[in-house]
Amino acid sequence: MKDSFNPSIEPPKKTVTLVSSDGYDFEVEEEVALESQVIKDGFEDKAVDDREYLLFNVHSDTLELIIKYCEKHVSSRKSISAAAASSSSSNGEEALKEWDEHFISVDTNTLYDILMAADYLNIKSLLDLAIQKVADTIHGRSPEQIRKKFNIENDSIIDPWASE
Amino acid sequence: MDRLSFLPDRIREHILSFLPMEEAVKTGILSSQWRDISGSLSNLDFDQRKFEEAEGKNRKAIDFKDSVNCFLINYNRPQIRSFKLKLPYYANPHITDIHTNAWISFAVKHNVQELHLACLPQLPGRIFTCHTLTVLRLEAVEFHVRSMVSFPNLKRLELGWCKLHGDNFTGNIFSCCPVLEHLILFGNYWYDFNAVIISPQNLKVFEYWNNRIGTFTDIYICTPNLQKITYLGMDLPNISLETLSSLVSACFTLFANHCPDKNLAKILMGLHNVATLRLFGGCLESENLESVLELSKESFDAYLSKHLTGHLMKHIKTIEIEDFQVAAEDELHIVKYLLENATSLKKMKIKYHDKAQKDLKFRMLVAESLLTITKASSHAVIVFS
Repeated sequence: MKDSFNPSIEPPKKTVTLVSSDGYDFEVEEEVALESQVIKDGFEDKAVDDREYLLFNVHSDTLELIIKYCEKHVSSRKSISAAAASSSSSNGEEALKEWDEHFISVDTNTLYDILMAADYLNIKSLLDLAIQKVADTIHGRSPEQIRKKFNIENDSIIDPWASE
Repeated sequence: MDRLSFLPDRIREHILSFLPMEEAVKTGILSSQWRDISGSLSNLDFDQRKFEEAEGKNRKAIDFKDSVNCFLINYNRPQIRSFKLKLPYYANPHITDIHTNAWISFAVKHNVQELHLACLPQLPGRIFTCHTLTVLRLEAVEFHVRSMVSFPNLKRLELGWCKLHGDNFTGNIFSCCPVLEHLILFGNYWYDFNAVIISPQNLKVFEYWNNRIGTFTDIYICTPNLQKITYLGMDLPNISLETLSSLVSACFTLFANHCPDKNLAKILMGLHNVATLRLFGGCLESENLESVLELSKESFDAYLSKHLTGHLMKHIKTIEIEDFQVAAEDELHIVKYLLENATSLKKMKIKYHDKAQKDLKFRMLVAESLLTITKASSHAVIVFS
C-alpha cells in the first residue's frame, strides 16, 4: 500500500537475472531480457522477485554476446524512434545494420553457438542474422568447397568410374 | 567438427530457405545428412529465364523442364507454402500447357498458400477454386474474370499485365474474395468491360496504375474499410462516399489529363479522415478545379473555402505537391490556402517543376510570399526539393 503513495521509496525491480549453463549470473535490464520471446511469453506470470532464468542451453561466453546484441538493439530502437519523433533525419537503421554485420563476423563455432542460443531464446532478428550469415557462406560455392568450409564428410557412395 | 550437418532439421531448413532454390537443392549432394533436407523446401521458385541464364552453363528450355519434373518427383513434403512458376516472354516450344498445368496441379494438391504465375500459355481452371490460397500473383496471363470462382482465404491479389476478358460484364469481379485485404492492379488490359466494381468488405489497401488509353475500364470503388489508395491513371476513379471517409492515406496521379476530371471534386469533398494526401500530375491545377465547377477566377477562393474546409482541413498532416510551376500562379494560391487553413498540418513538401527549378527569381518570389503567410498550424514545416 505504501508503494502507491510514494513509489520512489521502493522502486520496482527493473532487472532480471539470466543464469548460463556453466552457472554464471548475468543481471540485465528487463527490456533487454524481453527481446527474447521465450522470456517475454512467461514474463507477466512470474513473480517480480523471482525473475531469474536458468538457461541450460546457453554457455556464458555465448550469453555475453547475446546480451550485447539485445542491449544494442534496445538502445538503437529508442534512438531511432526519438529521431523519427523529432522528424530529424538519422542514419540509425543504417548504422545498426553495420553493427550487426560486424557483430556476426565470428568464427563458425561461435556462429553456431549464437544461432542455437537465438533459436532457444527465440530472438527472431538475431536468428535471422545468424542464419543469413551461414547461407551467405554456402552461397556461390561448389559442393566440394562447402564440404571443405564446414568440414562435411562426403559419405555418399563413391562413384566407381570417377578415377577413369 | 561438422556441426552444420547436425543442426536441427528445422534450422537447416531455415538456412536453405535463405538460399536461391537451385543452390538449396544442390546441397542434397553434400552428404547423406543433407539428402532429405533438400527435398523438403517449402518455397519453390521455378524461373526459366534465370535457370537458362545461370553462369557457366549451357542450358536450354528442355533442361528446365527436366529439372522441374525431377524436383517435383522427389518432393517429399505434404505441403508447399509458396510456388512460383515464371516462363520467359518468348515462344516456348518445349514447355506447353500440358507441363505447366501438371506442375501447378501438383502445387494445388499440396495445399499451396502463395502462388505466383507469370507468362503461362494457359491458366489451369483449378487454381480458381484453390481454397488454400492466401496470396495470388498473376503476371502476363490471359483469362476470363468469370472463371474466378472462390478464394475464401485470399488476402492479397496482384494482377499485372494480364489480359482480362469480361463479356460486357459489369459487376463485382472480386466478390469471390471475402477476406481480401490488399489488391494490386497494374498495366492490365481490360477487354469487354462496362466497368469494374471493387467492393471486397475487408479491403484495406488498393494500388492501381494504368497508363494506356483504350484498354482500361471505369473503376468504381465502394468498400467500407479501405485505408490506403495509390492510384495512377488517365482518369480518377469513382469512389463511394463511404470509402472516401474511411481513407487515411490517398495518392492520386493523373497522366497528362488536361480536361477536368468529373470525380475530382467528389474526392476532395469526401475525404474526411485522410492524414496523407498526395496529388500529382495536374490534379491540383486550379484550371482543373475551376472548370470542374465552372467557376471564374474570382470565385475560386470561395470555392476553395467552401469545399476544402471542414474535416479534410482539420485532419490532414502531410501534403506533397509535385511539378510546382512558374506559370501557374494559382498553384501558389492553393498552397497559401492550404497553409492558412490546415490546422493539423505537420509537413508540406514542394517539388519544383524542372523549369521552375532553374528560375531563381521565381523561387525567391515563392519563398518570400510563403514567409508572409500566417500558418494555421504552428508546427507546419515547408520542405523544398
